[in-house]
Amino acid sequence: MTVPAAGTLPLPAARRGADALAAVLVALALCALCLGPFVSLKPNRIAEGEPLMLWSAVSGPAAAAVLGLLLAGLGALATFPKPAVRILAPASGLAAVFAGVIAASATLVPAGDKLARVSPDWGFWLAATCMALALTDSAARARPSPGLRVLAVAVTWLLVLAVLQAGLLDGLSVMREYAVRSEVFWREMARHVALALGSAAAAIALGLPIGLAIHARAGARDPVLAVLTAIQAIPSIALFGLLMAPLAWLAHAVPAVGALGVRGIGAAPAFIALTLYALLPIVAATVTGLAGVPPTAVDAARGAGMTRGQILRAVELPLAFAAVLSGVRVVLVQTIGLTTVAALIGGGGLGTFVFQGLGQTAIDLVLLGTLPIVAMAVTAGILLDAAAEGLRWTP
Amino acid sequence: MDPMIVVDAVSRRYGDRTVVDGVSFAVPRGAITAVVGKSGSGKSTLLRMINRLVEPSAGRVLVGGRDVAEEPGPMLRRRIGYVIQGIGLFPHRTVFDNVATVPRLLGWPRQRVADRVGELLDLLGLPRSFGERYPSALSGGEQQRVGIARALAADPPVLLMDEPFGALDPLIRRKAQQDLLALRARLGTTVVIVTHDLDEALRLGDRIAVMEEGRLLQEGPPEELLRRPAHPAVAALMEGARRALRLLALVSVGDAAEPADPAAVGLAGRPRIDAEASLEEALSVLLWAGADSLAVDGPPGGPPREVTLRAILARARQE
Repeated sequence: MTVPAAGTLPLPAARRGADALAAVLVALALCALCLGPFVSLKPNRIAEGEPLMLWSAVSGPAAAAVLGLLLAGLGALATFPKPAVRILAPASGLAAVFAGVIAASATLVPAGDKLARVSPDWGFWLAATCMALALTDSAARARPSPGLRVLAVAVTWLLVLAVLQAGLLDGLSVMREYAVRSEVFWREMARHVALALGSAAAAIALGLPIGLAIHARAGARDPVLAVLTAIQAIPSIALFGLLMAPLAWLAHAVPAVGALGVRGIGAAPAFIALTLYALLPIVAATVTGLAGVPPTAVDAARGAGMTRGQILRAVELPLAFAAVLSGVRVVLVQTIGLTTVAALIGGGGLGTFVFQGLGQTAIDLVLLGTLPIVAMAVTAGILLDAAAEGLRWTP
Repeated sequence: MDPMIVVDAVSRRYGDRTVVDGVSFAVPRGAITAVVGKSGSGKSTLLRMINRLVEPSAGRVLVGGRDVAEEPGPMLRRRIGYVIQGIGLFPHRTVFDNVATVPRLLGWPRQRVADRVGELLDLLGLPRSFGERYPSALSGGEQQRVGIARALAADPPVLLMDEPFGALDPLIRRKAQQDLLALRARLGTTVVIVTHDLDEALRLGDRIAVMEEGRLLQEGPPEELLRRPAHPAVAALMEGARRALRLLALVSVGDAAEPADPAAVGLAGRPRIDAEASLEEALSVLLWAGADSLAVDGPPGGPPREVTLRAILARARQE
């Protein structure tokens, strides 16, 4: 049995007997499908949607298959709650409702109709959420190795991309929005990733030395952390606003800076603001990690004749590594989400769709921006968790 | 012969607090000097000034005749073994890598490092397979031995120990003390050991230095401190009422034994004691048996010897 990594939540040990949580969640998903509309059908983008129950959205046998699969999963969970069942039941249920949406868009949208569109409705969302929760819980209880987790993420991505590539979801409203702006989508996606990764990398490059510098100096540590905490507390829009004037002045006063593309609005203030937000988690994680290094190990290293740099490289950094990596994880997840706001000051990114959609009350457009952001943040979280655990020094 | 370590009028001040105040003493080559004192007496700071983990505010320290201030601290410390109470093994490195620390800092070739680590594990009575383990997989006593192996890795002429056995339980502690004496006898290492435990100091020290509030109250052989304490605090530390027994604990039975008359009645039937035991133990055996002499075992092949109550009492008497 593997020991859970420091920094991850302690998980309850695998229980014997019926796994109440997974069963309850799958039952809730069944109720959602029976009581709530599965999808809504709109003749065009602006028209009011018509809510449809599962059995009205897909053929009778298909609806029976989806509900039957969930029922079978519930029965299996109640009678035979092995870890494999706890993972397979919600996973197959999740696949079934997604297949239901694919089937609905194929059934409801006439071939060649470029205007009619199908949106998942609350019955679908609730059912999918319940089963995703059950799946996450069961998967976490099984304590998969870091390698297995990375593999699972990769397989999921390939599966989703294959489904998208095959056009199976083209009748969905989100995909309709994508179809008319696919070129813009990928440009903003690249922008989003560049902004998020770039500012996270800048925060690491700045935060690690700051953490190292203030770690041993109590007099400097508290003020620096207080300032960084204060920055975190500034609402993002306000921080963007605060940066506009000085950057506009800088670009004006120093033409060379202006020539680099720095303006009061755009990517530059977004990048700076995101970096500032990311500093606190990195610096705090570095300080925490270094504080966790046993003082006797550092004393012994000095006594053995290591220089200051050797102690840092050979003792302090390796022992603080797991904590620093968990700080990087927080920063990546946070920054991927926060980059959305960059769109408001012309910084671009997937937030562009979110705010356009909000302006046009086109919820499908909001989803086009939101879904990739959530997917990327979750992926980054899982990958870094796996990295933190896989690279730990403990035998 | 020149002393191995000379501490010459060394002081250390932090602000207006004087932690070590004008301390001078010398440690002969190959001797063990035990520094005793309560916590806060400045004994650890004194020790840490020998390898310059703490820089003296005044005075100087010579190791092997050379002023330690002449050399950069890290270079100096690679030539001086150092063991601390927390042991301070690197938890992310195997036992092998822990022991190899100083040889690698000194840039030894791989094979020489590997040979030396194996030798040290043998010397400390640790199986060579322990080399692959991590410190967390060892018991406290084993970790302690790895700590000493690491300190001895580059064969330093001087070993500094700061409460090295403080975290061990009494039985393992006793064993660790015997191991240290055996190591010293074998390697001829000069040792300075800091402890708050007087019994440990008496058991290990060829010389004892008593510290209080930064000052060195007295320094000399254990018997001298017991018989002629130079300061009321030293007398108090030696626990006046028990000092006769402490004196007996310093002397081995072999040193007090006299040839026995083979014709004497009942020599074979008398209680026996090993020549390595202390006179304190011999006295206890005598009291228990209600006898007035013991037959002495060993060394093998020697003439029969005995140790008498009269001889024991003479050793414990005030001069």
